[in-house]
Amino acid sequence: MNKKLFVGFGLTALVGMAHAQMMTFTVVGDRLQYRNVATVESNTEFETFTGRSSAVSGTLKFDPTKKTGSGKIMIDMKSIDTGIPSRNDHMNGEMWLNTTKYPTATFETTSVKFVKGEDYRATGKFTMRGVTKTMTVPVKVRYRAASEAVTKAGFAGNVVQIIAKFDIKLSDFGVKIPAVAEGKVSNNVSLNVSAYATTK
Amino acid sequence: MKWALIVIAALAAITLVASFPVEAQYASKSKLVQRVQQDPGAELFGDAGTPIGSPQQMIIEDPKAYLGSKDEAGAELVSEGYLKENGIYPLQLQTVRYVVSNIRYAGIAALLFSLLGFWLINRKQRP
Repeated sequence: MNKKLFVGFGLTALVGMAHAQMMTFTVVGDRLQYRNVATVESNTEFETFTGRSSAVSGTLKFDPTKKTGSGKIMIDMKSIDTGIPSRNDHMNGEMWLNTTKYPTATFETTSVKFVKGEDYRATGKFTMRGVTKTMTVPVKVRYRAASEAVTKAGFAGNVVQIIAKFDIKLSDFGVKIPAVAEGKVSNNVSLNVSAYATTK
Repeated sequence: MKWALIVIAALAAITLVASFPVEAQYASKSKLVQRVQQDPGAELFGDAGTPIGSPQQMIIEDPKAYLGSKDEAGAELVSEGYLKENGIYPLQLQTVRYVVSNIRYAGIAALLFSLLGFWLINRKQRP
């Protein structure tokens, strides 16, 4: 009897472990890349402008049962579109994001803590314009196991959506706002990332 | 000289007075909107779309841009795809207010300049 119970518990544990495995997800690209949204928002008295890119890439590890994971996300800074071509040119310039020299911004986690529901706090290294800062940012991680609905939505395998929002100071990353742009561009900007990643 | 000052003062007064209904007109047309990108990915996770930026008080007069629903903060959802396809770069109420307040400052400055001019002319004309 005891032996049977032991085997039963062992099997249950094995099944649990199988479900609790860490999965590797890759941020969607190609035809699905447009679904990724990375925005940078500057709010001044004059206007709030949003620069937007879909060129998000990276890999994530996530265990939906243990609610833990890690990841590295990259944004192609050159592809950020503010809606005004001349402003895009300025933003890519040496004085601003200098995207020729620093084409990507990267966030790489060092630890991820589960908060509640779909909410996590990710601590990691954020690199932009050649400057790296350690930051802790709130992240929402939403998981859907492979299903008909997932396939219908155009994804293959299991899928996660990560949503992160955090604020940075441009001056912390070597950007000096020229006098002519003061009042039109804020030193404090919000970065938002919404990206989908799949296991296939 | 006096006539020039009268014209400046009159224009400044008209500008100042007119700035209030102009601002009110734009404010009445504006709505708190959240631009969203609609795609099947967002639908899979139960969202009307992926937010683009934060909710803003904007003037979007094309009714087709509105999706007919609101977000949790009460902002009207607007299709980013529609705005892009139709080359609409929405006017923000904060930009209108910024421009109007600068025009008011200029109007007040012109009015003060005119009053100062009148005072100097009157002072010179005293016996």
